[in-house]
Amino acid sequence: MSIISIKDLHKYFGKVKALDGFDLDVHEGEIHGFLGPNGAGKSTTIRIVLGLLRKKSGDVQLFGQDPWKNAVKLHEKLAYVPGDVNFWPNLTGGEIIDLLGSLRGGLDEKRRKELLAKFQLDPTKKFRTYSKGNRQKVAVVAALASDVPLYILDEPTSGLDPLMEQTFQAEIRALKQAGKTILLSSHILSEAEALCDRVTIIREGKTAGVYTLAELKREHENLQKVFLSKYEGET
Amino acid sequence: MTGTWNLIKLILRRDRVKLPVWILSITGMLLYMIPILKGTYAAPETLNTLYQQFNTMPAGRFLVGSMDGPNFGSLFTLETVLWWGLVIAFMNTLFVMRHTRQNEEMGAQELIMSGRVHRGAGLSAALIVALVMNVVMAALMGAGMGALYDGWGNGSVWLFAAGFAAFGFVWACIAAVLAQLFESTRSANGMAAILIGAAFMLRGIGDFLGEIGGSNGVLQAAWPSWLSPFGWNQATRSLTFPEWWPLLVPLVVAVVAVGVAFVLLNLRDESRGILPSRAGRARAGKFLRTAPGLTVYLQKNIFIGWMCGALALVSVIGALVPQMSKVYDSSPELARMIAEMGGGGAMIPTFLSAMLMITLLMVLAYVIHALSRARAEEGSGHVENLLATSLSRVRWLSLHLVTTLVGAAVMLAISGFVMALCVNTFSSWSVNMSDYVFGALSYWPMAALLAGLYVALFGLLPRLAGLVLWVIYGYIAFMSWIGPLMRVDQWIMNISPLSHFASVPSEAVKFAPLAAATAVAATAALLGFVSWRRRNLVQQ
Repeated sequence: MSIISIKDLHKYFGKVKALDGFDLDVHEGEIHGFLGPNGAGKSTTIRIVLGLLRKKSGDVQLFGQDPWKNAVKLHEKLAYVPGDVNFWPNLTGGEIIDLLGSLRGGLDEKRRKELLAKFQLDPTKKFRTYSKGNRQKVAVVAALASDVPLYILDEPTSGLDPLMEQTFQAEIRALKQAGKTILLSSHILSEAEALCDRVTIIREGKTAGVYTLAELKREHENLQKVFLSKYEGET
Repeated sequence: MTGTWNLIKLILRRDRVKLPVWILSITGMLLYMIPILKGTYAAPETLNTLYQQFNTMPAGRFLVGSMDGPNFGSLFTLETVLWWGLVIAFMNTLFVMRHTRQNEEMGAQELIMSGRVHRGAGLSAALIVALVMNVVMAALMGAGMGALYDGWGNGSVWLFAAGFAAFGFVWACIAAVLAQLFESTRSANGMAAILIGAAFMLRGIGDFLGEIGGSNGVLQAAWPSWLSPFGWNQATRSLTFPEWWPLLVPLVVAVVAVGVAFVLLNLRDESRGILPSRAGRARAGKFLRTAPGLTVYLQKNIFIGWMCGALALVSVIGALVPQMSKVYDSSPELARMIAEMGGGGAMIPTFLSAMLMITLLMVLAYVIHALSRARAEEGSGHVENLLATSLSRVRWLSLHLVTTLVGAAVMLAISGFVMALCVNTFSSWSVNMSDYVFGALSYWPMAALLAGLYVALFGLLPRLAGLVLWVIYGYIAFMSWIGPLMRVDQWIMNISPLSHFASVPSEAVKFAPLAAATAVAATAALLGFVSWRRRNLVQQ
C-alpha cells in the first residue's frame, strides 16, 4: 500500500517552475530516500504533501486522501521535521517538544525521556540559545517522540555531529522495525545508502529516477555514481 | 576604533534605501504642514480661537501642549514637536537596535568581530550614522522652513531644526544603552517603546500642571516635562520666544548615555546582555501544551505592555482631575473663559470622555500589534510547524482573533473601571463606575472592526496587512486626537469610523455605528478566513 502517492505534480511560484511533472510513491513500512540538490524541489514537495502549499495540478494522496482538503485529520498520523528549523526563541527546547507533541495528539513520556538522553539535549535552554546542531535535535526529538505511522524528515541531520548521526540512524532503523514509514529528504548520499530501502531522485522538479538499494547492491552499483550520473553536464 | 569606517559603509549599504526614504518622508511631511496649516489657520481670528481653545481645554493641554500666543509659529510647533518627535524617536531607536543588538542576535556580529575590528566599532558606527542622519534631517528641515515661510527668521528656524536633531540623537544614545542590557532585539525595542511612551506622557503631565507666567506670559511647564526629551525640545520655544540653552540638556544626556553604553559593552560577552537570560522549564505546563495556550503565550507580552500603558494613562488622568481647578486659578482670564464654557462641572465629564477615547486608541494599537503577531508567526515559518500537526488553519487564525478580541474587551473594561476609580479616589468629584465600564465597552466594535480588516488583509495580502492597518490607524488616531481641536472639516473627520461613535460617557451611546462596525468586521473577517483557507503560506 502507498502511504504517499504523487503523480504528475506541478507547482509554480509566480513564473518559476518549482515542480514540473513530479512523481513519488512511498510504500508502507519503508524508509524512502528523497534525494536531490538544493533547490530541486524537495521541500516544496514535502510542503504540498503536508497541505501547506497548494499544488497547481497533478494528483497527491497521503494515506489515500487529499492532503489539502483533509490536512488536519491526516496530520494526526505523521510527525514532521522541517528543513529550516525555526521555533519560538523564548520557549525552551523541552516546552517546544511538549507543545508539538500534544498538538500531534500526545507524546510518549518514556520515549521523550529516552530520546533526550540519547541525543544529549538539555531541555531547559531557550531555543534561541541553542547551537545549530542542538536546534536540529529539538526538531528531531519532537518528531521521534510521537508514536505515528509516518515520519516526514526534511534534511534532519544537517548540523548533527557524527556521533549523533549514528544515534539518529539507529533510531530510524528501530522505527522501521516497528513498522513505521519514513520519508527522508537528504543530500547526504552515504546516509541514504545506509538507511533507505528505496530512493527517488529529483532533478529540476522532475523525477529523475527511482531505485531500490538492494538492487543497486546486487548490480554492484553505487548510489553516488547513479546520483551524479543524473546531473552529468552540470558539473 | 579599528573597523569603524568599514562598518559605517556596511550600515550605509544595508540601509541605502531605508535612510533616504525615512529622512525625505519625515522632512517632506513636516514641510508640507506649512502650506497646509497656513491655508487653513493663518487668519488672525482663527489663530485667536485656537489659542483660547488649546489653553482652556485640559484635554488639549494634556494631549498636545499649549500655544505661546495666537501666532503661526506657536501653532506649527504644537502640530509638529510631538508627532514628528514620536516618529523621529522610534526611527532612532529602531535604527540603533537594528545595527547593534540585532546583528548580535543574528550571529552576524560574531563574524564581523572575527575580523580586524575593535569591540566598540559596531556601536560607534551605528551612533555615528545616527548622528549624521539626524543632522542631515535637521539641515533639510531648516533649509526648507526658511524657504517656505519668511515670518520666523533664520535663528528661530535653525534652532527648531537643531532641537529636532538633538532630540533624535538623544534617543539613539538611549537605544545604545538598551542594546547592551537586553539579549533579544524584541525586548530591547519593547523597552525603548515604553521609555518613549513614558516620555510622551510626562510631557503631557508637565503641560497639564504648568502655570501661566514668566516674562512672556506663556505656559511654564511643570517639572515632569523636564524629565522628557519631548519637554526639552518644547522648551526651546524656537518659533516664538527662542532659547538655546535647553539644547544643553539633551546634549549632556547623550554624552552620559554614550559613556554608559561603552562601559557596559566592555563588561559583557558578545551576543549576551547585561541582564542575563535564565534557563527555563524542562517541561511545558498543561496550558502551554494546547493551541489556545500557545496563542495566549505568544500574545501575552503584547497585551501586558499595552495594558500597562493604558493603566498608566487612565490613572494619570484620574489623578489630574483634582488639579484641574488649580490649573485654571492661575489665570483669571482662563477662569473667565471656562466659566463661559459652562464651568468646571461641565468640563470634567467632557475631559474624561475625551480621555476615554484616547485610551481606546491604545486598545486599537494593541489589536493591530497582537494580530501582527499572527502574521509574524507565518512570516518566520513557525506556523508551518503548527499546521503540520493536527491544528487546522481556521482554528489557528480563530485563536489569534478571539484572543485579541477578548484582550481588547478586557483592556477596555479595566481602563474604564480604573479611570472612574481614580477619579472617585483622588478628587471630590464622583462618577458612576458602571457608566465608565460600559462606556468603554461600547467602543469594542471599533476594535472588532480593525481586527476584521486585519484578518481580511491577512487572507488577501498578507505582506501588506500590517502596513495598511497602521495607516488606517494613523488616520483614525489623528482625527480623534486633534481633529476636533483643530476644527478639521466634518467630512474629512467622517471618513474615520470612530468619528461616528458617541463620546461616551458624557454623550449617550449611539447604536447605529456599533451595529455597522460589527457587521463590517464580521464580513471582513469571513472574507479573510476564506482566503486564508485557500492560499499558500507566505514567508517574509
